[in-house]
Amino acid sequence: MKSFVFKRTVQMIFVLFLVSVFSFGIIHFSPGDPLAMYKQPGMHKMTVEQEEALKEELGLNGTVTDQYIGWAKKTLNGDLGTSISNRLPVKDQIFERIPATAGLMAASLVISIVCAVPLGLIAGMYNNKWQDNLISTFTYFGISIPAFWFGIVLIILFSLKLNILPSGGMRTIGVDSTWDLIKHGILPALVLSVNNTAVFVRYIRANTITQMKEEYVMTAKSKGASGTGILFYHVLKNCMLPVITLVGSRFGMFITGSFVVESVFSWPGIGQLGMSAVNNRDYPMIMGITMLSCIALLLGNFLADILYGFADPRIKQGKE
Amino acid sequence: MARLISEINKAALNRELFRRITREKVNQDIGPERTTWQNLKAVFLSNKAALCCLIILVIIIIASLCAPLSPYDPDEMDLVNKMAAPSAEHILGTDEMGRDELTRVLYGGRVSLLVGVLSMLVSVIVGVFLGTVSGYCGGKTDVILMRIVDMFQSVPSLLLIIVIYSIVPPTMTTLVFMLAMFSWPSVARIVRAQTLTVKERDYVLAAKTLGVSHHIIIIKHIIPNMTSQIIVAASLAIANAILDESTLSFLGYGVQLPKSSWGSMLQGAQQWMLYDPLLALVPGIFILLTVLCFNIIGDALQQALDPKLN
Amino acid sequence: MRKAKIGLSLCLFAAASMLAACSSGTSQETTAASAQTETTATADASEAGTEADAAKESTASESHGELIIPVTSCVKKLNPLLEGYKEGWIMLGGIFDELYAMDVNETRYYLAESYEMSDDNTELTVKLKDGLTWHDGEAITADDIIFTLDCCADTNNGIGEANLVYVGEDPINYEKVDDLTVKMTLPSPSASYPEIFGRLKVIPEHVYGGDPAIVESEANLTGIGSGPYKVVDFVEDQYLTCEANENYYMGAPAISKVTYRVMSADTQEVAFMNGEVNFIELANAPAVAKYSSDPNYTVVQYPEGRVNYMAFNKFSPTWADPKAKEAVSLALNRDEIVQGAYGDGMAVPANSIFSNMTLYYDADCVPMEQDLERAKQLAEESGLSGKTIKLYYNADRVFMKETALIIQQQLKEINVNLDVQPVENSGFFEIVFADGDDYELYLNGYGAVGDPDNIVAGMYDGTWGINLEVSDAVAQLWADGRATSDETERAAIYKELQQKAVEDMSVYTIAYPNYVFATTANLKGTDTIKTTPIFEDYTKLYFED
Repeated sequence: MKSFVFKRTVQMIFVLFLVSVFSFGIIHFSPGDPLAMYKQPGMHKMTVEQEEALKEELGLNGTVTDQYIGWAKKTLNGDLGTSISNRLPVKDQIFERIPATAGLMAASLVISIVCAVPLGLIAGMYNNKWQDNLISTFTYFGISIPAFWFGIVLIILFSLKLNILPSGGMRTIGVDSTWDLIKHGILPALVLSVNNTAVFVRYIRANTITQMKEEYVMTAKSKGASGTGILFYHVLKNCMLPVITLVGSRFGMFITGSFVVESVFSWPGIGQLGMSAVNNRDYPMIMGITMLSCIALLLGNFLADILYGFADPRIKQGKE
Repeated sequence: MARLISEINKAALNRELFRRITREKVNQDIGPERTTWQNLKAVFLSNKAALCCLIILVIIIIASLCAPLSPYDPDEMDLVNKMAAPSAEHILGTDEMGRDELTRVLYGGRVSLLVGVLSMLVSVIVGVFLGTVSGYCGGKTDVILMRIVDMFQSVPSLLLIIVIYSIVPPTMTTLVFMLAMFSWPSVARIVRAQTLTVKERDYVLAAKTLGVSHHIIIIKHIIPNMTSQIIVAASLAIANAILDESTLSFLGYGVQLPKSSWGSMLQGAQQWMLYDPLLALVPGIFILLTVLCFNIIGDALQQALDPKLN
Repeated sequence: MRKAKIGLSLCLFAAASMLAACSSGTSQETTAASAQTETTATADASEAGTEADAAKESTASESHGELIIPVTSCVKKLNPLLEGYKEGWIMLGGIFDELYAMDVNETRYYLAESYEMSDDNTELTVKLKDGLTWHDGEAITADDIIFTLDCCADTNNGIGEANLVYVGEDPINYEKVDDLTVKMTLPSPSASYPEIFGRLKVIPEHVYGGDPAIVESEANLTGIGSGPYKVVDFVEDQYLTCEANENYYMGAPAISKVTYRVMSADTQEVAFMNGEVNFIELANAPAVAKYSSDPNYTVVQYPEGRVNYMAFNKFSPTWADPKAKEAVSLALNRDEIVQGAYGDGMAVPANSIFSNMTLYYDADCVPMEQDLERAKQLAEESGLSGKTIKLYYNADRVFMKETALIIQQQLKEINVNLDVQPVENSGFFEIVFADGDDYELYLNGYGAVGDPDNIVAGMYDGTWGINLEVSDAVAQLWADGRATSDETERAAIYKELQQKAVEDMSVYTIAYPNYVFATTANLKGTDTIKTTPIFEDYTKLYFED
């Protein structure tokens, strides 16, 4: 176990290094002057010295390699640099947004699990019957629907036609109640959870089918246990740990998943920060978000693997 | 599948057949084993949903290919007939510039499907190549390639695609390569895993002992034994490429004018959502339907080809 | 089954508490300018029910005392000097007042009591009103103006108002005369300077501790200003709430609370129709038609003072023969472009390089009009026929895509193939304000309110539009206009200039867009002052029951 953790940690650091080099390279080879926003029509031209000083401050001096080394040194010291667009520390801005994005993702995962567990069990238990077909059809819709489109359709339906939910944002201004927050969060969480639900259902269904063939289910059946009883007490128990690990790895994707949904619903999270960073060519901010999202993903997978190892001692984690 | 292949192997190691064997011959020798194509046929005949999806897809593809038969030019504007309701003349009405919506959807389908298929091809070619190399060579090559795969799978692809989009000229070719750039790793992963099992098979070991060169082993023995997995990965890759393209177009970074894909049609329709919902519904439904069909077919194939799932 | 239900409700509760957790994390990021304002009490999960009722009530009363304006993007700092975008100017409009505002008809005084320009257009003296105070009670003095100008002069701040402290490349000398008076001495005459200077939004020196390197100052988040509204609560990318400034020098505004809500463009209209916001900018003709015919809404439209145009890149070899330019100009049908791309009420055809809100605008200026036969002939003669030419447009600006597509169609008539290329905002200006020769045309627009010797001049004298063909005669007229202070003389110069510019074919002027917005019908006074960005004077607004 120890060697597994060690090995994976080394691997993760290596991947992080690759990601940082790759993203840094891409971002810095993009044309477009990062200082363009200081050179708009109407501004007085900066003198060469002033431009140099500004570049120095923003870490834009020297070759790409020099800039990378400078960036890496700072990052290792916990300093992600200063945002070009508002000159505030990148780290603080990102950390401010994490709760909104993570909260949304957590809520959507909860919704997904709540829906997916019963659906997956039913689909697995009635393998290839009409119940299964119905649920499977739903899961296909779940993985095939464009999230942004679904979001807009939901806004029109629930916000405009039925007028029961707000159209966007995170809370009604001046109202700081949990209920208000839930009302705002429900549509974006729903859009995010459709895809997750579909993935979970398919996973649980497959697992259930395998479990149903196991001897203990047969034994329980022969002892006269009812269908539902078998499902809830035995199959579910055996499905849950793998599901939890799956949830772990999905949670790591919380930043990646948030870009589109947050921009449709004006949800003030990391996704929105990322989109505006891209539009403003805010290099340090893009790097910060890329690295954070990468770390989250790697950690999510790593924890999922470890959990999985605990859950199923048959899996030896020393070898790969 | 795995079991069947080892059946072939046993036959392959039969002494008389030892010297000069092509895979086709073996297949003929062993009755129950079917070729990939026979497999595919069987899948579609037994799985009604998959067959249904196949038919829908074929209809969409043929309709898109036949788009030039439409009496309307997709770019021809008719500023008097802006946002006309569906009629006998314009079956799905017209858009905000008075262009025929049905014609545009069909032309959009050409772009969306082409982007999907091309980026699938690129990602499958790259994925299969690197996946087999990684699995076959093992050791340091494997470790490094897999870390690169990890890297591509753990960066926020959407963000970086948008950044890259400002470097490269925004043409369809670059779009295809960008989508492929972030989708080959998953193909490579599947292929590598398969390679790892295949390369331990007796016939591969035998070929190695006989001094057959590595690339011939990969081309003749390993890749042909993964056709089914590759087809599954390919159909899922198309589905994802179409979905990703639509998302990018929606955010304004997809296919550029004058071409329009379903995604860019959706983007254009966004501001008319409340005035002419049909403009947004039609391309959205086409995306949903196409992606859905590719996903269902991919899954049906996977289930049929992998006995463990049944 | 019952167990499943319990499980379900448990999970929902868990989801709720997670969302709640995320709220407590972000709601702390609030900055209140006035100490006496109490922030809304944090609600406990157990009180959620009663809170919800309270929320409903407040929604019902919202339409009376609170104005909610949606914006697509958010200010990062509450400092008007650091804002480069329209949304930011809208959000900070009620918090910071300008000195005075000049337009074609009148001058409206805000912080300033008077201004005086010397006859030779080189010395401007501005006097502040007496007894003005900042939101925190400190007096507004000439020192604040000097400090604000110091900030503008510090290029490291990235402030877009260089023409406040420079004429061309030469710095302006500014000095304090007494506590309420400042004097600006220009290095060379500039007839438009009083107008530029009037728009200055003064920031408080004491809040920044007198250091003009303001860009990283914490004080940027306090939002202490001089206007009719003071900042109550600001959460970046969510909202900015302001309350009426009871001590405002022109009297407290009638509407007690103004909130700017950040919303994506997709959802703004839904929110407007739901009554979540009272205001929406309209960008298409069907929307204008819809709200105009509905008695629950008021639609206001007036010229925005912009000129949207298609420019000929003079560095492109295609235009070596001026006949090619003429062929393109004659092939286009301006009315059809405006009608097709903009639609009813959204714009009027542009006949001059001045806008219909520019001083000395000549309504009788004769622009290039369509003449297909001649265009075809010229296209043949100049070898343009059969060619493919490239046009760039700014993908982030409204109407540009539509305009490009219609131009593409119209040029087909003279057998010219137009390759239409969208470019995102930041990349766009790098292309079109540079000397590249690999494209022929681009679509753009410039603001042209007030004196022509400001933005418009900058577009044609090489400050920004360096790739526009400008004849020596026109360049001379610009210089003459700048140096003359006599009204009639200037009017004559600019009249001649406008007609000459048409002959130059530097650009093909397309449209003067309108600024169009809808409000709920009970909001009155929004059309009293027709300027953009909205609203110049919030004291003119009120709700009517």
